[in-house]
Amino acid sequence: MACIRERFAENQLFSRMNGTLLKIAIIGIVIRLALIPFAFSFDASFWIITGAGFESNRTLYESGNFYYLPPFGYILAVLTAIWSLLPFESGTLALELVSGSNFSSVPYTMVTSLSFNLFYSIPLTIFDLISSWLVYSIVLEKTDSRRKANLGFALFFLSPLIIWSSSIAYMFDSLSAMFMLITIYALMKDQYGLAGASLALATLTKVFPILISFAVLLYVISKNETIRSTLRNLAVFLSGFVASAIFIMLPVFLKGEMGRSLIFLSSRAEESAQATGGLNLIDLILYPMPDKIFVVMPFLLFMIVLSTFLIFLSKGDNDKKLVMASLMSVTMFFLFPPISTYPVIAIPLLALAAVYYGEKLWLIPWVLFSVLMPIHAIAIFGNTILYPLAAGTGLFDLQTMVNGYYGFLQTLYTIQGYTLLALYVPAVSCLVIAAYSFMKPYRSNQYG
Amino acid sequence: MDKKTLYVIFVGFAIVMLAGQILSYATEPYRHETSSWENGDGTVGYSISSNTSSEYGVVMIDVGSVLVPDKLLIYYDETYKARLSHDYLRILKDIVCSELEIHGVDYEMVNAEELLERIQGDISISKQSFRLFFMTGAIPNILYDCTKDSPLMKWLEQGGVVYWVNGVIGRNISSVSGLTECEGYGQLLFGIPDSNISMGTEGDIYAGEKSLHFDRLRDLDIIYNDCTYGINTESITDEYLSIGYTAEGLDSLVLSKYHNGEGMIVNFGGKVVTSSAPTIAKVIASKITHDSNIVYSEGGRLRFSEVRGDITVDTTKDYVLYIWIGYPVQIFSRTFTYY
Repeated sequence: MACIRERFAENQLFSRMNGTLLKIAIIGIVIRLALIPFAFSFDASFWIITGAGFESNRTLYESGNFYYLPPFGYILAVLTAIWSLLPFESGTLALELVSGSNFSSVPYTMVTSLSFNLFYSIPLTIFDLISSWLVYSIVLEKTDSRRKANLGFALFFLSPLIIWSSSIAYMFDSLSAMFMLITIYALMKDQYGLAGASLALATLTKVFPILISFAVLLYVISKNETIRSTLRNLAVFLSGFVASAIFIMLPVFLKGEMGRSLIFLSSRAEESAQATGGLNLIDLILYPMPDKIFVVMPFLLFMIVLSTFLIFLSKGDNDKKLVMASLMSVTMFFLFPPISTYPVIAIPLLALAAVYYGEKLWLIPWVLFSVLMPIHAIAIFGNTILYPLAAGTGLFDLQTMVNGYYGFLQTLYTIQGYTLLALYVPAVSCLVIAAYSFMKPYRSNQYG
Repeated sequence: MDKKTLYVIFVGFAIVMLAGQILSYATEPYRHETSSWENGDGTVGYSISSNTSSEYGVVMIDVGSVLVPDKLLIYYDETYKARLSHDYLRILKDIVCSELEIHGVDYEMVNAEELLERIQGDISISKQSFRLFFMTGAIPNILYDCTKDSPLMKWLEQGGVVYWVNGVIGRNISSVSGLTECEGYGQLLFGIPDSNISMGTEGDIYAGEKSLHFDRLRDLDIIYNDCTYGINTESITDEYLSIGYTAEGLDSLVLSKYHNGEGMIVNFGGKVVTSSAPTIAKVIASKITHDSNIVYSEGGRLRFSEVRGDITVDTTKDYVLYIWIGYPVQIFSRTFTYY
């Protein structure tokens, strides 16, 4: 036993793990376990349908229900292989859910089982844990403060938005956040090839991490003193990016499914074109539905470029600039209210801004993103997240709950109108805090 | 965290993804098998096996008077106009075919000329060698002119089976140059006024109320509630089954005897989309008819083993045995015909 204990002590992970960190991790896991009976079955059903496609020996896109680029799909193939060995039902088709509101497809009529919820929350929790650990490691390495590192870990792992995303919405945004964090950490350690490869995986998982690419470019330029080393490191970064992208896309390309894998982009663009036909500015501001984002894209990209430029023009530590420029790039994109789980990638950057960059004001947008996004999601989903509890335990009558949902639907629409407008607040608060931080040195010079 | 750990995390995930690539693109790791046979003592035997832990179902259907051929012809011809864009139909055609394949349906795509030839062939031998699926929302003018003397109607008259989705059945006639509309199709096909078949609305019509015969084939787990191009069945005098849902007097899924003959028309009141394709494929695969009744139903969970059973049948009747694996989404099915 003593020998094993010594081995654990020698291991870097366990030697760094402290009581507080362990408690935070346990609390986070317990919360996630407690949420297993709650799930938004609609989103989760797409993993079930895609999994059924695999079990029919079809490829990722053949059954036409996977609307993302492949990285999570490949993980899903592995999860399906394990799930297919287990003696559990993934869910049930509930006739109570057939209504005049939607087509009676599997996503609209299925309620996931508790065993499915538990099984799929395991990998999503692992993504959360690794992301939290990366935040912890960056903070510990940069500040040498275990207290701050613990706080960084908690700010990711216990964020209500992260918990919502992985334990109720069953979305994999934290996988994308994890690869983005590896990119940032690898850049700080001058591992350009790994950084490029990881940014490719992050972007192919969910497109948003591509937003930090301008920050990455300026970081490499400002960190390297000669043009030659800058070009060499950029070339290594790009090589990693391209190699990783080829690795991911090659099977899809060879199977002739490139068009299908990109269908999410074209369908969103089409939706946006339909949504924005004859649109005026007031409509755009007051009804900022996610499908209208293409209209404001030039403005959002301008804000990203501007904020990144200003950050890298200022004096200071390059690593901190990378974190702040990445944060601003991501949050400026969310100036237009996003779908609730998208800002998951902003949470680790906000955690780093608060504890590594050292500006506590960044806790304000952390709270706003963490709380407002799940509230808006609850306003959309209503009591539908309780359906697995009703179907799986019999504690409630499913039909009564469905009736309750439709009975309350008009009220939910009204609430959604307000909560949607509230989603402007988190990113705007980032803008205000960034402006405040940017002006701080000038005020200090003037008055100090 | 040192550099090595960072690489380990990344490589670890890359390995998992590589495994996923192999599972989904390089191999066919899942095996499902079914078979069925006549024992000769008034019973039909069956066996099911899979290397997954999946639910299965065995449903024996008395199909009544209509015998549905195995072969399915899917009409698709880009030289003829369709009600929907060919770009859209091309994608959906692939998805429908993918669904039909997991159900083991023997299908073949045919253009208008080929279809005419096949129909004339059947008429000349007074026998049905195939059933027919229309998803273009319009029928080529060389097959149909809204009269019962057209080749398609003659074929239906002698017992042909047509599955229809994506528009008002019988209303649109297509040619190389465009679409025309006809009148009297309701009377021709179902003996009802055209007004009893929905012309469609700007939005889709979905229903929450079960239609008349919803429970009759319930064990097949067919759930279909799109009534956008549904049929008001109140005045249908021929035999029919309405096994979907109903809204605004329109039924979503109707299997009806052809008004001027022995054939059958299956009308899906909506359109082919990714989410409706599995249900459409299931209806086609199970060979249900307007005269069907389920006479035996059994299910359970396969645990990497074979399940066998025997079903007692009335040898004077015609049956279809539909065996499926996978729930809530079917991953495999096969149909065995005992005509």
